Amino acid sequence: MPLVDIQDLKVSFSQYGGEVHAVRGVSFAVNEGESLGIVGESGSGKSVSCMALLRLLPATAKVTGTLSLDGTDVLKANKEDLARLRGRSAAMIFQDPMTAFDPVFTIGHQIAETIRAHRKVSQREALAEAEQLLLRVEIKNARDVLSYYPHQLSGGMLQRAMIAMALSCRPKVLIADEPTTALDVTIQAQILQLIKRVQAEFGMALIMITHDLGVIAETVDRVLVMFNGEVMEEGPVQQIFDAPQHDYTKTLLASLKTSFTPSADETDAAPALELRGLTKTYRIRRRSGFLTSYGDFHAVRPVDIVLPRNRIVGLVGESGSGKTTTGLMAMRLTEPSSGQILVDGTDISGLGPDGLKGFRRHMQIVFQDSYSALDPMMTLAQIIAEPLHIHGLGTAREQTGQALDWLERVGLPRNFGSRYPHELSGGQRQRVAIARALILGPSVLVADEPTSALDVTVKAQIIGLLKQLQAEMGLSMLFISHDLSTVKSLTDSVVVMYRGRVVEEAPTARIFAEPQHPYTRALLDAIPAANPRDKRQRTFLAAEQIEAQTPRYTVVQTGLTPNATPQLVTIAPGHRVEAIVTN
Amino acid sequence: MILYILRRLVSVAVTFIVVSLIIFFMMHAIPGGPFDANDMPVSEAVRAKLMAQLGLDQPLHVQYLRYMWGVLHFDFGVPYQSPGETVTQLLSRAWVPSLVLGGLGVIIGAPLGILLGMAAALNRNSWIDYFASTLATLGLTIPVFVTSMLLILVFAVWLNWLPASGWGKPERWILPIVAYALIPLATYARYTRSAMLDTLNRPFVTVLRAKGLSENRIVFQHVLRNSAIPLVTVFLPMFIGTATGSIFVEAMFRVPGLGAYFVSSIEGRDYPLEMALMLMITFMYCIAYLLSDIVYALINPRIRVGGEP
Repeated sequence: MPLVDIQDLKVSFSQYGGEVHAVRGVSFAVNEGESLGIVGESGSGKSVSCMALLRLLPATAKVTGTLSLDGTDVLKANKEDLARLRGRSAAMIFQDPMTAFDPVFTIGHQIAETIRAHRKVSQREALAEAEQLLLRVEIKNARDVLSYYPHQLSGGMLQRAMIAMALSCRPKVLIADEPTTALDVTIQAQILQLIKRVQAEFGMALIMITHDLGVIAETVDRVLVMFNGEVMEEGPVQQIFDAPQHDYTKTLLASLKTSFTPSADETDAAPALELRGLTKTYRIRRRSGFLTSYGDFHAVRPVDIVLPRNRIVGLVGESGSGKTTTGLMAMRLTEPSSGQILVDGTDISGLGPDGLKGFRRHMQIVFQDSYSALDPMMTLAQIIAEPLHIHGLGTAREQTGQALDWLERVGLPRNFGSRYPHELSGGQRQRVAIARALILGPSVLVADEPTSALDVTVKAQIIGLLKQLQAEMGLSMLFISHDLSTVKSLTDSVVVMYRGRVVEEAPTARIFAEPQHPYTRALLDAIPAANPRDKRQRTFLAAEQIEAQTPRYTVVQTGLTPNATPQLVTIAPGHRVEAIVTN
Repeated sequence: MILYILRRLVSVAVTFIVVSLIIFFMMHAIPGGPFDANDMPVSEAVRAKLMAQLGLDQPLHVQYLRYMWGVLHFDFGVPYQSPGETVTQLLSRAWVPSLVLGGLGVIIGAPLGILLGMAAALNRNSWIDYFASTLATLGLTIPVFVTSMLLILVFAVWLNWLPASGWGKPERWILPIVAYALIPLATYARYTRSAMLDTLNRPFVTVLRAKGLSENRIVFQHVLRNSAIPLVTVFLPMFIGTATGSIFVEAMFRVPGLGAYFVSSIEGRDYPLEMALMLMITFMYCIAYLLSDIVYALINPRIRVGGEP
C-alpha cells in the first residue's frame, strides 16, 4: 500500500459569490522513499491538495474523496490520529520562512516543542536533539541559533531551521510547498541540495510543490502537472521534459527555453541614462546608554551604469545588493547621497520639484507588486490616463481615448476601462502598470522585477510584451531582476551588483559564457537545471571565499595603477569586472 | 533594558513639565477668578487682600514656579472651595470611591472582555461572535449615563433588587461597577477579537498545526501571546481612565468620588485643586504608558532582542 494515496480528491470553498472548485477530482499516490513533484501555477490546486492531506484547510473548505496517509483515513481521523499524522507521518515546509515561525518564541523552543508534542522527553533532551538537527541542516553555530528569535536570522537560515523542525519527528514523507520561492537564487540552490540530501539520509518520501520547472528538474523522480484543479499529466521526470504529452505541459516547458533577439542597431547618440558615481548611504543610530553614536550603512557604493539608447540593460543581484535602490535613485524616487544622474545628457540630480516634473515625462517605472502599485479606488482608464492629467496633456476626453488605446496596445480589451484593479489577474494588472508607464512616451523605463510575482506562462507573455513595446517605441530599459533566465531572454547587457557595488558588467551572451567575477559565477551556477539530465552537485562559496577569489590583473594588462582595493577593470569591449590590480 | 527605562523616565519628566505648563496657563486663560463679584459679593479691598494672601496678585510665571515648587514637596495647596483641609487630604478622601468602583470595574470587565473576544474569534461567524460584536458595539456607542440610567431603571426601580445610589454598603457598589465594567468589557472584546483573528490568519499558525500541536496549545500559548502584544498598550491607560472616576457614573449613582470635583474646581476657578487633579492624571498616564511600553518590550522579542527599544 502506498504511503500517500489520494483518490478522486475534490475541494471547494464556499464564498460570497458561490462555490469555488479548487480541486476537481485529483488522484495520485506516493510510495515510501519516492519523490514526487507537483507543478502548476497559482490557483492550480497543488497546495490545496497537500493541505487537504493534513487537514490544514480552513473550515470553509469542503473536502470529498479518499485520502490515505500512512495507512490512516485522513478524513475520518480523530484528534489523536491527526496529531500523529501531522509531524510524524508527514511534515511540511512552507514558502516564506520569515512568516512560518512564531515571532515571540526562540527557534530552539519551537523545535523542542515539536519534539515534545510527539514524544515524552524532557525539555533539556528535546533541546539537545534540536541542536543535533540544526547541525544536520548545516547550521554551524547551532547552539547559538537555538536561543535566537526568528527575526534574528536570514531567510535562508530560517528555511534550514524549518527543515530541521520538519525532520524532528522522522516523518515518512516531507511535503515542501514552494520552499525556495521567497529566497535568492544562490540560497535556493543550497536549500534544494539540502532537501535532497536529508531526504536520502532520512529515507523519506518527498512531495515537492512548485511552479518552477527548474526546481522539479533538480529534485524529483516523478512529476504531476496540475492546471485548474485537475491533473494534466503524470510521469517520470525525464519523460515529462523530453516528451510532454499535454499542451499545457508544452507551454510550461516552452517558457523555460530562452530565445533572444538583440535590440535594434545602436545609434551614436548620447546614452539615454547615465549614472555617475551614484551612492546611497543611510545613517544608522547606535545607542549605548544616553549616548547616541552614528554609523553609515552603504546601501549603494559609487556605481557607474550607462544605459545606451534603445537598449535593455539587466541589473541583477541578490536581495540587499542595492539593485532596487539604484533603480529608484535613477528615477529620483529615492534621493541619492551623491553622484549624478544624466538623462539625455542633462544632470537631473540637483533639480528642484518643478524642474524635475518635466523630466518625469521621459522616465517611468514599473514595480514588482502590481496590486499595491495601482490605486484600488480608480478605474483602469483613470489609472492609465492619470500621467496625462498630471502633465496637463489634452482634454479629458482625449486622455480617456488615449488610455483606452493603450489598453488595447498592452493586450487588454477596451471595455476593461471601467473596471477596477481587483477585478484583474496579476498578469493583467501588470499590463495596466506598463500602459500607465508608457502612455507619456518616455525614453527611459525602469522595470523593477516586473515579472517576479507572476506565473511562468504569464511571465513569458509580459516579457514578450515588454520586448515588443521596447522595439516599437525605441525605449531604453533598465531591467532589475534576480531571475537570470529572464535576464538572459530579454537584455542586451547585464550589470551584476553585489553588496552595493557593481562587480561585473558585460554583454549578455558574454557574461553567460565567460563570467569572470566569482560572484557572477556563483550566481550563474545556482540557476536550476532546465532539464533533469543537467542536474549536478554544486559547491557553494561563502562571502569570504568570494572576496578571496576576486580576479587579479597586472598593470601591464590593464594600464591602471596598482591598488589593494578592487577596482573595475575593462577586459574586453563592454566587459568590466571588479578586480585587484597588481604590479 | 534598565537604560531604556531610565531614558523613558527622563522623557516622562519632560512630558510632565510641558503638560503642567500648558494646563497652568490655559487654566488662567479662562476669564474670571475665584472671587468674582457675582459669585462672592465682597468689597474690593477684601478681594485684593484675599488675592494677595493666595498669591494671585503675582505674575503668572511666579505663581507657576511657586506651585510647582510646592508640588515637589507634595504640597498641592488648599482648595478654595473647602479651605478646612489641604488638596491632598481632599483627594485622598474623594479618591477612595472612584478607585474602588473604577478599579473593580476594570478588573471585572477586562478579563470578561478578553474571554468574550477570544470566544468570538475562535468561533467566527457563530452566535457567540455575533453576540460579542453586538455587545461590543453597544458598549462603545451607548453613552455611559444611558446605560447607568437603564441599570437603575431595571434593577432598582422595576425589579427592586439593588439600591439605586449612594456609597457605603457593598450592595450599593454593584450597579456602578457594572456600569463601569461595560466600557473595558466592550473595548477588550473588540480588541481581543480582532487581534486574535489577525494572529489566527498568520502563516505560522498553519505551521504549528502542521507540526501536530494540539489546538489548545496553539491558541493558549502561541496565538494568545502574539495577540497580547497589541493589547497591553490599551490596558493600563484604560485602567487610569476608569480609576480616576467618571463624572457621569458618579453623578448618576450619587457616588461621592473624584468626578464631581473636576467640574466644581473648573467652575469655581479653584486653581490648586484643578491643577492637582490634572497633574495627578497626567502623572498616572505617563506612568501607565511607561509601564505598558516596558511590558510591550518584555513580551515582544523583536523589541527586546537585537532591535532598538
